[in-house]
Amino acid sequence: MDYTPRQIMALVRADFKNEVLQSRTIWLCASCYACTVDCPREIRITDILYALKQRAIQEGVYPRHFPIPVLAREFAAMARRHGRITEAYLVLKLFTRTNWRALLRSWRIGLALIRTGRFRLRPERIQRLDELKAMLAATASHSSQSSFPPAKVT
Amino acid sequence: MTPPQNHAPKAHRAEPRIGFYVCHCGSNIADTVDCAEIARYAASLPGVILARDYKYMCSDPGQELIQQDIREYQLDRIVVASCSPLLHEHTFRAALARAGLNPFYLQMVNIREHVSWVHKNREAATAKARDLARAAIQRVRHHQALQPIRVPIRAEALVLGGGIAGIHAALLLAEAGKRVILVERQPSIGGHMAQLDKTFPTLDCAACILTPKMSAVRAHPNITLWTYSEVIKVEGYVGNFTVTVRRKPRYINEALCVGCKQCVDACVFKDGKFPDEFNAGLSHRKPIYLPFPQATPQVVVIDPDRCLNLKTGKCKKTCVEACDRNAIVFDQQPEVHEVKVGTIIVATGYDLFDPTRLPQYGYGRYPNVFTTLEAERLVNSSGPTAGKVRLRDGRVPRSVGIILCVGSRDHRTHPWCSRTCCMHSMKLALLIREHAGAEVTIFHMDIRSAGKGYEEFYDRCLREGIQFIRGRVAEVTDWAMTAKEEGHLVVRVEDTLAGFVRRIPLDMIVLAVGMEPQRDARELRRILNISCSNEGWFLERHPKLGPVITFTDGIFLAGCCQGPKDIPDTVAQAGAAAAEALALMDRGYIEQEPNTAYIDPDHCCGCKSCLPLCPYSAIQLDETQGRAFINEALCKGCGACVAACPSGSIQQHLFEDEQVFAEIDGVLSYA
Amino acid sequence: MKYPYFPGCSLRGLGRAYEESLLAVLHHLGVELQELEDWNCCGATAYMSVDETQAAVLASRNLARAERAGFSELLAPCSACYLVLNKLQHSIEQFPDIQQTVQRALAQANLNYRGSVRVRHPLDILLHEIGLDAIRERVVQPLRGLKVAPYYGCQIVRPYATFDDAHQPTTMDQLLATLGAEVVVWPLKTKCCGGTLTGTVPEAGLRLSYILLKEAQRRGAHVLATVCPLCHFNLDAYHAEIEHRWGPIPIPTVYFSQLMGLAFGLAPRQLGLHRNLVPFRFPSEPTVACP
Repeated sequence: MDYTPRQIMALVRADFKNEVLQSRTIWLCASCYACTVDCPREIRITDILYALKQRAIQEGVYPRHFPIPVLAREFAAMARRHGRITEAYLVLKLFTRTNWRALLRSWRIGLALIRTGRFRLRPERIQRLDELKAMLAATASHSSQSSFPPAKVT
Repeated sequence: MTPPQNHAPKAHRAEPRIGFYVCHCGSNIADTVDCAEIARYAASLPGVILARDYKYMCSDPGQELIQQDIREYQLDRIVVASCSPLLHEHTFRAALARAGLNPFYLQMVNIREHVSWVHKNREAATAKARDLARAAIQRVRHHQALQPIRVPIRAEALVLGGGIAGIHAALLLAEAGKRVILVERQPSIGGHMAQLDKTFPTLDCAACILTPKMSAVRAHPNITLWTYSEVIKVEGYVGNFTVTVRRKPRYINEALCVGCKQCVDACVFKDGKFPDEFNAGLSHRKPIYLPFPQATPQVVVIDPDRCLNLKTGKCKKTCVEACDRNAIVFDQQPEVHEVKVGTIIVATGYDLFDPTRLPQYGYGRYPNVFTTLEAERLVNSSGPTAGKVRLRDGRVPRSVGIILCVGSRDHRTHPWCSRTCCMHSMKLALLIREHAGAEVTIFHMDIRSAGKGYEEFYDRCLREGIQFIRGRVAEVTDWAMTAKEEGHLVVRVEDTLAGFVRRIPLDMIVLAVGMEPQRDARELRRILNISCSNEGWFLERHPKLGPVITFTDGIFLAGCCQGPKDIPDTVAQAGAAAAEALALMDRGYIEQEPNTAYIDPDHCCGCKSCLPLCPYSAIQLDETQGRAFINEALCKGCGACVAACPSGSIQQHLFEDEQVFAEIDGVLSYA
Repeated sequence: MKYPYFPGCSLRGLGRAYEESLLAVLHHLGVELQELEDWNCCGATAYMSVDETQAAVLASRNLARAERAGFSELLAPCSACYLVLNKLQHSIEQFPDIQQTVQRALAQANLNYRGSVRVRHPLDILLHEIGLDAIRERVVQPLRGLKVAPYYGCQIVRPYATFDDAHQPTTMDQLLATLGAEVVVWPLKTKCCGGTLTGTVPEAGLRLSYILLKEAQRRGAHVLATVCPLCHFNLDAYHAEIEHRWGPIPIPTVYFSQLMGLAFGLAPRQLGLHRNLVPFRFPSEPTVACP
């Protein structure tokens, strides 16, 4: 974590755009929403971090070899392409893109998952893929202007 | 009380001579409204002799201008276009009176609150101001000379609430020779202050400065003290309130009991069994008890929910045997009293925030999490531990953390700052360290120590080694990560100065719970017919210039029922409330707007439909003539009868049909 | 009783045992699940990081299809699905612009969503529809002597807290107590397991999972009960990796539905218990528990 979440909020307000969008902090949020329900100002921190992550991807300034944004992009691409996620396949892709050594280290887990029938490589897909693609295409013109969510839960 | 002038038959009216004045209010109005244009326009209207614009009409030269014009141009109607009449109607009425004109020949146009402050477009705003000015000019020609109504004021006062605010106000009024009835709902007066140990920033003992005042209340010949009592109804109006008070049975003859407590010792319950309210539940009392040693009055009370005899009828009643003054009265019934007073001071105080609403702080789950009030009782030498700071298992804490802003400055609970917790917590920090030798850490968002000697007190705490960590605590937990944390409560907090999350193991946690309005504040608000803010604090008439008066004449506010404040501010406000009440009572009367209704006897058909409508019972039927008539001394000018009269024979001063219609015509006729 | 059901991708992959056990115990309670036809990925947390609008559209297709099928409710057992579908429901209620975008996209597929589907969690259904009494009646092998640490994780209680408290949830506690288990009181019920950080930034992610296992062990728990396939994966599949880093913590993690099945007397294999990497065994001597 290069900045604390509090620092991120302050940097956003002070308009330090590059520092915020290139930071690793925004990607480290695991979306557990603990901050959102506890913030005495009712700031929707998780949602703001989502918006920052989207902006970082749009502007192409996210940390390139940091696995988290890579995973997010691969996840989205797979959801777009197949309509469903095949987790094992997604993990393989992530490791090949970011960290070969981690893949090698994880062989034990992989084998155990195969043994217990949890590791399935055959891609899951939905039947009406064209329907989903048409829907996603309809948002294409809007997706570039993703806005910050309102700061307060109403 | 109404002089006969108000009923004078309408004289034949000559064409009125109207003077029109438009105020710039510095730039408040002039920035948005073209004042010169308004004046030019007004001058063109029939009946307007002259029209002027001026920078500050309410200033002395502004008023002087009106007075001179009245004399020089024989003006007999005045219209002032400026701010709300709430603010300056009396100013301009007085100017008219000084120039020899009846003050009710004035009409105001509110082009500040209704126009310049709420609009941005200058052209549209000017047009609206023009319409409103025209309406007022058309209206004012129908104004009549009236005389204000004088209402006498009773010289007795009711003080509601017997904490330090109510005590101080009651004593001041009594010293000034007024009869005071002090109503307190608990069995003793003293309020929250009686539960405190020392007071900041001087660390003088709360009981030492409070108990003399409590005894003074008890002893003062001008004060009637009704404890264990509640106000259930208030009727009437300023100067003449009728208040209904319900006195709950305490099952003790107050006149006979001397507080010897022999009955308490004799009670069939050998030991205290029920949570003691005064000690914040940290000790136990019997069903019959004296609330605390300095309780005033020194009269015991029986808790009907706990007493065996009152609950089941099966008890040896050893208390009755023990009382040689026969003061115990098991068949005592609630009493309802009606009292008449001129003024009411509301000093009902506050409640403490319930920390179980924030489960992350563990109150109620972890025994060694306390509230500030509980900590206050622990450090008090007459408290449950005789001043020894002890954990619930009897151990002495070595490290204590005080968490600030629990239920304050938090949009999920209460957004306001409770104002006293910073100082209160620092005071507790010093006392806890003195009593237990413990290391004390205060967790704060920022320390708010505005007040005389307060910042110096903060300095003292810093110098004397109280630890301060800036950060809102995330949670109090018994989740131990290291051996050092085992058996402790762990505070997890982002130290915002150091810039990382810390885990701090402590023995005892004190939650600085904020203040909130009394649970039944809204109910009381309705009984008294005063206003509440959204949060539930009683609303003062003006935050700066009317901090202790309410929107209801004759009712004043003192202490925390109006908003969180510390003891010095509470006492100052109680003094101010007493002074406001005294000013009213000493003058003996108030002048009221003569906006009363009256009945044209030639048109009234005696249908009586107005009679049940009047909330003040001001309308009576003259049986002999078969006509209704209105007692102007009782009429409050609500207008209910005026609107309801089927024959249109009821009119109201200042709101005559022809005045209102002329105004409507004026605002609707597009020039 | 019959409930429309949204399995989600995880329950068809790493979280198979969750689906197997959930279907088995609900069937045992007389509740059948009807799978939403041609459902798609909810978008989870990852998609929202890439494109919020598309994430909303992705989720909306499921709710719109559910509405068209005449469903007024949709059971979503996976915490991420539950949150994302609920979040969409909130967003279209609160923000008209999101609703417009979603409707425009749905129109491309001749779909439409009026917002009438209520997304529900199995715990919600079990406690508030089926009821603890009906569950108690089915218990044939009470989990006596089994100390269970109920682990709710984050996304079923936060941020919406629709059926349980966001800080101190109790529904699973009540359920486990009904099964006869001893519920371990512990303060980390809703702490984050690390989510996908266990794979992407192991030094941060695995530490969060380790903290959970260690505290549960410190409190004498025999097993952690979870409601989320990702939590289960982190605590179970990465268990060896965690022990490798921080030393042995012999404590397995199972789905609450698997414990229900055991109490109902169903076969472990039927409940997918053989899929656990850290094998769960009933403590033979319940009194000899960890200190």
